[in-house]
Amino acid sequence: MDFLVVGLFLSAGLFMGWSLGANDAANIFGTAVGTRMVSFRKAALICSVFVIIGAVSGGSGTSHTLGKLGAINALAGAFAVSASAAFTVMIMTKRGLPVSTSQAIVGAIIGWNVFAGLQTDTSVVIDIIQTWIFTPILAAIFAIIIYWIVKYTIEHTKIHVVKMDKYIRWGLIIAGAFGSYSLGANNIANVMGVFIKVSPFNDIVIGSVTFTGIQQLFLLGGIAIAVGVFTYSKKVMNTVGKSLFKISPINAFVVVLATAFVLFVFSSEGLYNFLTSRNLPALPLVPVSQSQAVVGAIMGIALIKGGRNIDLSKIGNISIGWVLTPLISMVFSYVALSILQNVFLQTVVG
Amino acid sequence: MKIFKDRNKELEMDIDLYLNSLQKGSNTFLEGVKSYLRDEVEQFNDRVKQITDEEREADEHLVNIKYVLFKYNLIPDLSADLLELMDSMDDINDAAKEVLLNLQVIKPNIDPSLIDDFGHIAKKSNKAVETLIKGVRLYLTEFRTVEDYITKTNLFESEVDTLLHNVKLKIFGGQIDCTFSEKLLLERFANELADLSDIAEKVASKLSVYKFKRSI
Repeated sequence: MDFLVVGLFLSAGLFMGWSLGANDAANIFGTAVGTRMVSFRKAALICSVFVIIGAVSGGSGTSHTLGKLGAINALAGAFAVSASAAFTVMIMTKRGLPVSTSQAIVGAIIGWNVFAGLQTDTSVVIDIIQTWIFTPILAAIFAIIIYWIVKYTIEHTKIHVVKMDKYIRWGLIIAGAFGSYSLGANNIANVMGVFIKVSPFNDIVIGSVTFTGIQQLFLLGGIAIAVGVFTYSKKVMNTVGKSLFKISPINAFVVVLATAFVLFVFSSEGLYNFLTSRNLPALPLVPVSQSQAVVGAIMGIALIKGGRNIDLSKIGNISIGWVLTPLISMVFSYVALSILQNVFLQTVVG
Repeated sequence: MKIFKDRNKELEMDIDLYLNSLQKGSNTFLEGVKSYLRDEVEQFNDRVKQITDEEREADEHLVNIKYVLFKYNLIPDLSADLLELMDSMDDINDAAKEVLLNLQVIKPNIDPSLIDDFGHIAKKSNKAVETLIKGVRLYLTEFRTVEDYITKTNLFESEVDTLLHNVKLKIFGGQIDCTFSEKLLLERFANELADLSDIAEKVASKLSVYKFKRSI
């Protein structure tokens, strides 16, 4: 297929990647950069490197789940799905509605299933929805546990406040790197997952190392995220760090770490295999909303501090997002597929 | 490649040295007052020189603390509290130096019956400062135990108030043979000695607020 056409069709995924980098990196390093605990350049570099590592090495689990939801088998169809999800995210963000790329992409894939006349696997849908609901709850639980550990450590050790500042900076960098890795591993499915079946890349073998076509696709997605981080996230980071969530650097560390753990448990194939091989219950590998995990973690900290000043409308907003985002995205996807097939005469279902 | 230059260590050292200078200044203040009350002129002049040096040394550390804290944006969530705390404590050294310099210049004549009273005020004021400095050190490390030191500082301050009141009663009670202007001068001297504990109390009350912010 023509390089330009492939590039054009992949552009929707790359745009999703760019917007993910611009927005979600701020959730990881926002407070650290906003409070000038970590410089933007350092944060952007760490974030980009670890997002790419996470995407290339750990992105297959969540992508596989999206594949089970809908195996999109035409490049133009994947473009329509990805573009519809991106458009949904853009429209909802502009209108100030709660939105998640994970929820948008799921809705768009279901839209493709409907358009293609294929049955959507309800067990996968139920798994995914359960995961969405569980994400903020699990983030709150992780945040509470980490908060306790950090609080105990601070209160029962004689670490000088200045030394503590140094440890927190390192903590924010390490948690940020872990968060970036988890974001890459978990959310690359939203960026490139729909293109897996129609990947234009062939495997590259260098000695004993094989760089698969899917890994190349994920690398491209990872780079798009990194470009988003470098080109646009500074503004968002400063907004997050200074105005939206006015939390201390220590609490930011707790939030980032808790969020990273949530994204990790929903994307780690190693953990999944480890648990299932021992007949232990494992969490499904599903792309989840990082923003909702962040809100959950902050609520967890607020709860442990006595539960005052909790904005319950945030919980309501999340629930609206669960329903509204996939629905809108599904409709957009259906319309986009119709236009591509009937107006531009493209094959959207293989 | 070092990702962070160790500005934190530099700041920690500066804070420690600054508090040491304050502690030394407070001790020199006490020794200076004692020397004056014992009429040991040479030692007193030495103490005046010593406290001037210590005050300068403390100022240098304070400037460094401010520079490192702001230039490298260390402890962003607590830097304002820390600076306010350090700045307020600088008043202690200023007041201590002021007392000794005033004694050197004005040379008030202390009635022998008041020497012990003035000595006690200076001693308790020094205790208040000493306790406060210990409290500040704990604020920086084990902030949960700061409250004990805040309470003790306040206790010393109220003891100083009582001593001050008693010495004023003696000064103006007719037991001392001196003019009214000399009495006013003695009262001013007593007030200046007590000022140190007042400043310590004010800083302690700030500390009791800052302590909560240290908690996550």
